[in-house]
Amino acid sequence: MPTQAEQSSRQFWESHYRELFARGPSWLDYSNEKVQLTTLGLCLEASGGVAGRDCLDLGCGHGQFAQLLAIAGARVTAVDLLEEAMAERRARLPDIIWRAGNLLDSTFVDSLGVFDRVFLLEVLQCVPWLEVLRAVWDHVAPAGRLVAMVPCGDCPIIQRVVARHAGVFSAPTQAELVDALSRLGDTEYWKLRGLTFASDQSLAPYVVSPWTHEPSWASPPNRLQFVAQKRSA
Amino acid sequence: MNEAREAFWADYYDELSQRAEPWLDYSNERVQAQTFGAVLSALGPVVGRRCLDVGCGFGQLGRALEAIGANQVMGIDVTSQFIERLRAQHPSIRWEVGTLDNAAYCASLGTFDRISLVEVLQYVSVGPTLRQAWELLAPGGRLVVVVPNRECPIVARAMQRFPGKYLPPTAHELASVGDALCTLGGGSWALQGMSFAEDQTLNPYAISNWTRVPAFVTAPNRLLFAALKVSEPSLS
Repeated sequence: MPTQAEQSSRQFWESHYRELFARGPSWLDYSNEKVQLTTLGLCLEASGGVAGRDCLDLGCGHGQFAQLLAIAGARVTAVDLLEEAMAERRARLPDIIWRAGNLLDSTFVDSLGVFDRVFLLEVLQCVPWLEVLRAVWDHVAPAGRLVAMVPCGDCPIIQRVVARHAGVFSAPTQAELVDALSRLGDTEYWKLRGLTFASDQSLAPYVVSPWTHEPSWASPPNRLQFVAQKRSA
Repeated sequence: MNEAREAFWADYYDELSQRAEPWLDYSNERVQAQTFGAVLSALGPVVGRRCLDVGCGFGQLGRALEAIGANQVMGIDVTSQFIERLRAQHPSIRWEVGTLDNAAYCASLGTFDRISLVEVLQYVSVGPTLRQAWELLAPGGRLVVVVPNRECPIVARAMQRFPGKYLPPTAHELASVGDALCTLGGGSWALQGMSFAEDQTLNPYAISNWTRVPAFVTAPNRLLFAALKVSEPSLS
């Protein structure tokens, strides 16, 4: 049984996204379209190839990333909270499997199956991130890969958001994420990189760090991107 | 434009267009996905904008731009087989047989907010092609290029295989074309080096930070170049 706090968090996000979807195409919870496009690009860039592979996009929003995966040659299942939003996409874009469900609902998560690539773009902050990360890892196939983008809990801007939305928005710190990734089990390897808002954003909003096991940046990045690869069977 | 050179590549891609692999002239699908991702990041926001993909091949980049919200997408290629297939399969995008070396054709196209040339410059004259692309760019627009780096030894072997026909630029040549374009029209440019990583388990390429002073310790395999045209023509 979900606790009362979990229930209220769940209701918060469902009504939040219902409102956002009602406004029509947008960059949803990205601060602006530049950040959104960079995120999609960086996650495809880190995918390790998707053509001919089974891909799962959790928290697909308006479905732009799911479409990118399909265009790049993947078989795609895309998941988001609201059945009405998924029904609209199912009718318009039948090459992708669109499923409505909540990652806190273990019966739903169990029903997803196993994928070569699982993507979590800007999702973990809306759920108990560690629990969901572990649950989702079970759906990564041997030699498959999980790619995620998440706000960085060490960043002062993010900490203000966490304080404002206490109980419904949580972001892992670098140390917490490193600890979680090193305990996932069955990992061939994992790495993360930091995305920091650039001083000159005319070309790209973020400066992207190299991939690392041991984040030691002078100031905390705004976002963390991580990749975890599962061992072959 | 060297007509024999262009005809050679037109034939070459005619043949490639018959193959099944969707990654065309990328070495494999991992390289393709990483390149597309890097190009999409470099193109910046495309929602509501007019995009031109030069050398569209199988059309994935053009279709990706449409999927993420571009207002109008056009893809051109020298290979008519690609264009015919794409017109039938994806009619919402304007697909045409065309090249940037035909000034009259270019003048008929109007202007674009985003222009991409992925794996194109090695087959054409670098300076004139980039100047033509720059002219097609609307104020506030952005040009993104991915091209092999002539200084990379692997690329040099490809040049020997296709003597006089495969002529990619160096980072310094791209830099000086970038400077010339930005002096002409006002704007800024930067480039990234894409080098095959020593450890490719995560990704085939290690991609450098954006730089205007290309001083790589070892020559990258490919260069990703982006140029922004300023909102208003410079008065000076």
